[in-house]
Amino acid sequence: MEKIVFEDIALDYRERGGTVFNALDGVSFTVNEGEFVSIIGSSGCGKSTILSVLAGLNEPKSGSYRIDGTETRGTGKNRGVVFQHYSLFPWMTIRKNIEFGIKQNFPKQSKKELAEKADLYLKKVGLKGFENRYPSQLSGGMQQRAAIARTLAMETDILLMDEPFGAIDAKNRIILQDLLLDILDTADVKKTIIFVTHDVDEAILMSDRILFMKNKKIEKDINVPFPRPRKRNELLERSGFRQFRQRIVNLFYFDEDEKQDFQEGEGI
Amino acid sequence: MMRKVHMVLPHILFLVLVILIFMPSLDSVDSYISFLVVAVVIEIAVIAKRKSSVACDIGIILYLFLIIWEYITAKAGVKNTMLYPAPENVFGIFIKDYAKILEGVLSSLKLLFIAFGIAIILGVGLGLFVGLSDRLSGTLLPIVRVISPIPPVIYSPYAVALLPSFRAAAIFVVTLTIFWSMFMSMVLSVREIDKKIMDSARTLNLSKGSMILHVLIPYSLPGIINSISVSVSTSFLVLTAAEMIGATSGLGWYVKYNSDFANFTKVVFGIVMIGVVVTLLNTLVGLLRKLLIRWKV
Repeated sequence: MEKIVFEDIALDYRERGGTVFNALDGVSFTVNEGEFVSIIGSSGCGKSTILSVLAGLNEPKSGSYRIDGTETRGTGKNRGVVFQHYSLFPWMTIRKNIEFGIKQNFPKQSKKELAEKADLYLKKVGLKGFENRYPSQLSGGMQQRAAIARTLAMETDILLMDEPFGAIDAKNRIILQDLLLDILDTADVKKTIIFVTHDVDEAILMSDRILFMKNKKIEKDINVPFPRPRKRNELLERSGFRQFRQRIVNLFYFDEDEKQDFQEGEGI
Repeated sequence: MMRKVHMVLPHILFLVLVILIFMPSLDSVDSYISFLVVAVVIEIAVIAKRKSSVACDIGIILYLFLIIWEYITAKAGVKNTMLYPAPENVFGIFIKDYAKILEGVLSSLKLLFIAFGIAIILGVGLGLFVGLSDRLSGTLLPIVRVISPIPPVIYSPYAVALLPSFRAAAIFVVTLTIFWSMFMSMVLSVREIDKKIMDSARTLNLSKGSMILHVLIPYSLPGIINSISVSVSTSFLVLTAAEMIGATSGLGWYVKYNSDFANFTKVVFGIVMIGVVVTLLNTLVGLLRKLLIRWKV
């Protein structure tokens, strides 16, 4: 079932000086319900802009998008967003941040239900015992765990993640990737996820499909052929993994003429 | 060795001061008690902070100042004791005149708190309102930038003529002093809010009220408290200046009134009291800051 349909979206940014530059140039794609789709590409290719349009933070110049068949504009309660930089409110403790998020989507919940739900997600991301700290008292990795917990606790069907592990050191990035995979694999309700990253390994490990962006457009739509649930080590040892990875890495290096040998769907 | 001397010196100076106080004075003195109390309070503070060399330095400077002051005015025999009052007489005023002094302090503080109340409510409220609208802030900021640097004291004669009572005029002038910095800090903080925080708030689908109460106000709180702490000193300056023009109570009035009668002992004491009250207010703001923005490291 189609969850998100993006149709011919174009968007311009106006800079402070008044110069306009094009950020998205006719982007179309479809994401099915329960799918994990990564968007990769070099910096400046427009991958984060797609996410901000979907999150409702930017209005497209032309084109439209539908979520669950309804044309959508602006922010909405059906989408949760995790940003690269810790988007927690620094004046609330970790627990308050999470409860505040839940309260926006479930305004009728009692204090006790709020606390229970916050506890559940604090536990899921391994932050039990840190809930009364302020964000500034935690490391970057822990703040990002809290940000993920807040977004998950809002229990939206769609998760939009904009390089959520981009600012985290290598060791913690691995831990957080595994944590997110584990949470998603064991979740009762399958979430639809759009995940922006510049890390090819991360994209392969996490996603069902990879959209490769270049020059403000989606250049390639590649299925990831490895079964779920995935374990990092098993995946790395799988035959075909290295080849598949190389193929995607190559996308970054080929220019217009050479990439002709890649045909649509060849990645499978 | 040097350090040891440095640590012991304030205590030696304290003893010197106490001995000096008890040496016969040239003039008659009503009471030494308040002066002794002041010296003992300083000594207690130095002992309490004995690990800090800054506290020792401050203690040394204070004692040296008091010793010189006491020696010149009370012991060495300055000719004009009216213009150069001895410290025991200055501090003695508190015992003689405490009702008037406390009344003055309370009157000044009451005025100040009213002015702060009005300025904070108006400054934060209007600042939010203007800051949230591109059009309003675009139009009003250039105008405000012209008006706000005009020192509000300059309005006081006009305000006294225009408003029904002196009190109203003083409140108006002091409120204005605090208001501008509060208003500007609020407008700028709303307009230049961290984009990451704003994006995060928008994706949570906050209502307008929630956005103001749970995001914009806490985000601006450090700025508000900074404005308050800057305003404490300037507003006190404006207040005492205003009181010197036409009040019938307050610390500024106390100083002005007594200088009209050439009672410089009371004048000096009034000046010292102003310093004490401003320091207490600043301490209060410091506590407020600690209490309200624990989240900021």
